[in-house]
Amino acid sequence: MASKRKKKIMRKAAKLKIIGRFPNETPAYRKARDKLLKAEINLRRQVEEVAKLRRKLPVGGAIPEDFVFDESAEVVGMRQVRLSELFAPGKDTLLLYSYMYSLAMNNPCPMCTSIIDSLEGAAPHVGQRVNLAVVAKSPLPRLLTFARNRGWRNLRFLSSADNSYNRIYHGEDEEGHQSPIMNVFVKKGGKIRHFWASELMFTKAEKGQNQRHVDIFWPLWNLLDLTPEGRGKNWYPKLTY
Amino acid sequence: MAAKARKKNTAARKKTASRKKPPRRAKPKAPKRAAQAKAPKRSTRAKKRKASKAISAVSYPGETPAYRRARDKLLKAEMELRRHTEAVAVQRRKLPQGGELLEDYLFEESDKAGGVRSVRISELFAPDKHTLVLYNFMFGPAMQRACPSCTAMLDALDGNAKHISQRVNLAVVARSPLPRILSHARDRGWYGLRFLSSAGNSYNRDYHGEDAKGSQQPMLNVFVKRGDTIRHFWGSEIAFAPPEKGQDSRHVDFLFPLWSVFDITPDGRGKDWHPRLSYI
Repeated sequence: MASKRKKKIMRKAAKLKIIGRFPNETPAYRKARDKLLKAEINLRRQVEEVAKLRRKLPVGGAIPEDFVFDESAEVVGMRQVRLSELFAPGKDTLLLYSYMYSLAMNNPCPMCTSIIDSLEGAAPHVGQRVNLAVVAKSPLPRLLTFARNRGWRNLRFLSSADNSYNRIYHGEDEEGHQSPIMNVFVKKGGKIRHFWASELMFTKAEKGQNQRHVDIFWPLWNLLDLTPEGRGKNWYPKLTY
Repeated sequence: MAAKARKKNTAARKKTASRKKPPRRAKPKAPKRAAQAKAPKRSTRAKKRKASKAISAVSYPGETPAYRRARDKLLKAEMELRRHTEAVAVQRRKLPQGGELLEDYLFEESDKAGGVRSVRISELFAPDKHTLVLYNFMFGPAMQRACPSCTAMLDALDGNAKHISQRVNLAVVARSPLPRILSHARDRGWYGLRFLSSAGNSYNRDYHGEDAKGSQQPMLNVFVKRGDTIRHFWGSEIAFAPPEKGQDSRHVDFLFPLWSVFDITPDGRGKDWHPRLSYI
């Protein structure tokens, strides 16, 4: 039995090394790379475990009100839409990203903008399975102007200028400062409940790091994690370069 | 200073103890002192635990205590994942230097006037940027159309390309002739990424963007230039490791927001859904 198991493990280990060879690599590199590969496999497993744990969350709180947002509409230019109307038939999950762009801000948050730059490309695919929209506290025309100039054409933008959504769902603090936050809502039997939020935003960051609360869907930092330079200590994305 | 004084004190006490009492009685005293020293440590840890609970106590309208308990538990798991992600990145940065570049490959790319120009891999390094990230896009001449999964990944990466390019060199390599790649890129509305055709070189084959039979493989490679020497730094080798049961290899998961977004939903990634080139 034991030897059988050992054989299986050895086979698995051999498989790990199959193609993973690069021109001119040294045995020292291969040894360290194989060790790293194991760590990467563990990390992949952990990502799935966390997702599983997330899916097992008990039902969240029901939404206190059916918030009314402004969004763009053909012909009339602007229309009001309720949160409950953001659920397309057959899609019971709604993701709302709170974009830091209030009337008090001269420019939208460059970090959020960089996140949305990438989400924008994923939106047509994401939209096949779930409902996705971006909420900001600016009046709709201001929000749409920025989106158009940025070249965003896939995402659905909602203005929360006239409702308390941001305040209630932690997209805004007591003083009216905007916070970046991703909220997920679920509709079951006509009832809409909160499912999950990127609450890492409100945890203490690791030393020398940011909260990394939406790291998982922000390719920029993850790509820098693949480089010898890493994320860097004092570089942040800007609106333009 | 204080520690030294304490040590001295302890030593002095030990001396008196051994003078006054037989060594057999002096021995049990030592663990007792150790226990006393540990006591405040335990209480600090308890305090830390309490504080961490307070930190995660953002509440949502109508949430039940059961939800909060489970959410706090999940939050701890998310923090652990955040730590582990960083630990893996740290380990990656400590890799010994990789193999020297096999040859200074010649790619084709579009020039500023819209024509075609040849560019060497060594020329892809901007003067102040020593890292080059090359993604192997599965779009070979034998393929009727580009890989839909790679395309979905690039849809999102394109939006981050101008940010990424501030820090490192980034390009996408495909085996198709350049006009075919550029036409697909234009159709997708990609404007941030740099596209290279490897139709005339063996880059794909040498760096695992292609298997022995000529089938294209998705692969992300990172190269580093030190002095005049270009070396391989890292490749998304997890693509070749056995996947977890019922999963894909997820080798560029962290650059692919689509799947991570599904990971924050109750229905997850799904078993049989894959992105397509179009949904009409």
